[in-house]
Amino acid sequence: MTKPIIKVRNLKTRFFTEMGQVNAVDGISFDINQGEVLSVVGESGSGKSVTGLSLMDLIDSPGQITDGEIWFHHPDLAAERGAADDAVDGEFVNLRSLHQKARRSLCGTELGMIFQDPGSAFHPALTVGEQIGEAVESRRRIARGEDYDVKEMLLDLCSLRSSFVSDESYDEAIGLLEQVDIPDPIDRADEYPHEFSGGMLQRAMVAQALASDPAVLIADEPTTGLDVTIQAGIIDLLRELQADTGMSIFLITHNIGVVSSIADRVAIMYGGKFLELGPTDRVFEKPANPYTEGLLNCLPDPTDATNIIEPIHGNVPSLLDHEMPAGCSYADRCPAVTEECTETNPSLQPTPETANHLVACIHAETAESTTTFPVATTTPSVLSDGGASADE
Amino acid sequence: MEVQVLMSESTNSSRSTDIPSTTIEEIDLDTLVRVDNLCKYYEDDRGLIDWALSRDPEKVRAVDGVSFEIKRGETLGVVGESGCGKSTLARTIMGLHQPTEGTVLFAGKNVAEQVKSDRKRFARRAQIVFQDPSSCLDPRLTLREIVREPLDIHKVGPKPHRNERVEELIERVGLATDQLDRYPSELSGGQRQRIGIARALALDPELLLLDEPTSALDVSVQAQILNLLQEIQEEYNLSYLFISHDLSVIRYLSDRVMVMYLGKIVEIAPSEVIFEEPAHPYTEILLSSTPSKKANIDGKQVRNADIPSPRNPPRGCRFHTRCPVVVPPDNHNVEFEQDEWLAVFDYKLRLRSGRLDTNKLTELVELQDNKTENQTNIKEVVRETCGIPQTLSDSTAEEVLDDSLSALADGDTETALECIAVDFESPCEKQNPPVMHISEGHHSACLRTENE
Ligand SMILES: Nc1ncnc2c1ncn2[C@@H]1O[C@H](COP(=O)(O)OP(=O)(O)O)[C@@H](O)[C@H]1O
Ligand code: SF4
Ligand code: SF4
Ligand SMILES: [Mg+2]
Repeated sequence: MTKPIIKVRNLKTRFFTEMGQVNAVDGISFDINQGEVLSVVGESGSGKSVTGLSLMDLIDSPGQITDGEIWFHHPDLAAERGAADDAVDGEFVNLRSLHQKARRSLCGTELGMIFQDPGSAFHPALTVGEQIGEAVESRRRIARGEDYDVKEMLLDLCSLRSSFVSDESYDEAIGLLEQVDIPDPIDRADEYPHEFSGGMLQRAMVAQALASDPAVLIADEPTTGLDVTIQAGIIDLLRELQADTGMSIFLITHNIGVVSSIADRVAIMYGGKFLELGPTDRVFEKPANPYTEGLLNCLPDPTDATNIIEPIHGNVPSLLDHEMPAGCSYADRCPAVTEECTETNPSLQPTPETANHLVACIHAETAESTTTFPVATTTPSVLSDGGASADE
Repeated sequence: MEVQVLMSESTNSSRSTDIPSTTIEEIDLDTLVRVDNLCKYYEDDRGLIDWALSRDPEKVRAVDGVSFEIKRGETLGVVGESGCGKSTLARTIMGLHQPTEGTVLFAGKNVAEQVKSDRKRFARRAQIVFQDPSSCLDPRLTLREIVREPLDIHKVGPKPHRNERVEELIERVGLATDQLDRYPSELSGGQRQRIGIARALALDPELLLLDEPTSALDVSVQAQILNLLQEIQEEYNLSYLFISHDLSVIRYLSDRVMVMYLGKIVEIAPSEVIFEEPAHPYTEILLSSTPSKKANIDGKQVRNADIPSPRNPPRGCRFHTRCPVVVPPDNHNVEFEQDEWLAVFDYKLRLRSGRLDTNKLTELVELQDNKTENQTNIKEVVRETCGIPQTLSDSTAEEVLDDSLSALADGDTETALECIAVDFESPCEKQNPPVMHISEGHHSACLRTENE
């Protein structure tokens, strides 16, 4: 039976910019199960990265999570706070109801994140080993109950107090480099980020993210911009790490091929919403939403000489609040659009054959009667069962 | 002989470059571009120290002896990893770079010479489209001015007709004429690429060099541009040199495909053949590394993730540092099981690149001692990191290896290398693989091909 590690309910993240309010994440609900690879795929500007950053609690001004809950499976913390606490539901803790410090420390230890550009994750003036050692050291200190947060870590980094990293932490950093298959880890630990190739630095960033022994690894376009030979190696590595450590991976990408190689389940994101969510094979073989189908038809198939691609006309939608349509965000490009689509905003519903295959489309065939996907309500108790009605 | 790839049998006999170009044109009207032993080296300035020590600045061998043809109306796809010379090749064909060696004949005329004498006329016949169209779209000009500019420069037709032509082009690439007074910054990436294409089409070229034209675009927009390229090719009978690192778009557009690795062509064949019966190990790896909606990445991978620098490319077959089927020694002194061989070869490459440092190894030994409390030594640590078994199955090979490891443990890397120099030498390290003809239009440069 699948057990969730994170449950996201009705998450809304907005940016308040000069151009207006950007609804980057517009009310999404989903679970990340223990030990699974869940992928979010979509075109640029669909809100994938903001979703990942929201989970990491890394949304900064002018952005803000304006609504929703992020429940994290953390029996210890839940027990410590007690069932009476509003932030607690069973073994889950709502990150959004925690104080910033508790939240950041939870996100910092239980979640790891890697990005497309590994250069941004490393300080150019420190060796890779020292920096991964820093991450190990801070985990150790937190485990010992020492108060050591991101700010202090940055101070340490800036003051170049490399002696701060204990020998054990440095050795563990070398072990992590070895774990991500970097050859000659002792040598490499001693080198600076610029001495690494793109693919090797990407691996080093994975090592850094593993330093806190996270339960969930959030990977935002980890292979974008890499050559296919290097990409294949990174995908293999993520698969192996997932199998060895049992962690969950939340993989953000625009590359459908990467998704089909590694993801157990996939969410199709468009205009700040999920239009489809289900087991990867199922979604790619029998897409239920016209956008998913369109996206798949856009891709030339390298294994088939006769395939014809059918582009989706038009452009990716704006997420500006005043430009977003009242109805389905795909309506202006959808070949199956009807008048109703422009009026009603569809929510994720189960498809008839597969209960964990959900689709948001007015004209898609869905299982009759109520939603079994637990969407957000104000009371957390609904999380454990189904039967909630759609939001808005 | 230098590596040569010659596609059509008819030109096999006429490859010598001193044949007058007109003759070639007469011989083969189908051929629009003929590239012969083309080399482009960049000399990057290594500064004062080089000068003071009168050292030669190192050359980057971006394109290193490639020969091929582009037929009229065909699409030749070029695929390979970043830095393998794809863009340099396109720019050199365009005449934007002077070749270091070799020639490019465009419709029978030497491009390098034309560039000097008749730059403008040549420019009308070949145009280039880049990955990032913004780099060639002047942000201060309106779309109308951008597309009109080449018509003005080349004084094409009477002025009033030029505006008509601009509108025709804009509509052809799928934009509305009411957008003509906007600026590039107001467009999406896909729209900008359409403008780039309209501008490239303005002068009625015969050849478009497309350098990753869809790599920065979203898949839905990429699909639009791919189909547009296909349509205009047919309409205007264009030839394409289509560069991409993405094999799926390469297959979609290309009639023939050329696979490049570190400045050289390793395989060239009709598209079908490249995808269904690849001969070169590198092509096979590219194919098995390309995931698609239907196919997972699985199977063959490179042995070593790092792409060597074209500044100092590996000797012999340039792929030998990463090739999973690198040929075992042919000296009959030693014999290896395949896995053993790869591990031992890995040891050799690490030794050669200075990656096995005795001091560091000592550290590693100490580290492992702490961890496992087992008595380990340098030899064992090296065997372990390279994946070499406790003893090699061939006793001579084991002796040779043991000598080398002992030298390394003593801190003498040079002797360690010498010990294995002869016995553990792959033919792929010594020999430039000759280009083998496999079938009609299919050539591959790999020693294994020869052996088959
Ligand atoms: N720091 C920011 N300030 C303002 N808008 C932002 C910021 N970060 C993201 N956005 C906006 O949020 C939307 C979603 O972006 P993103 O999550 O990066 O999309 P994706 O990762 O799917 O390409 C976009 O419209 C983007 O412009
Ligand atoms: S709701 Fe309507 S517009 Fe949206 S995807 Fe379904 S059919 Fe298309
Ligand atoms: S020549 Fe040797 S190294 Fe090169 S591709 Fe062939 S087998 Fe591999
Ligand atoms: Mg993104």
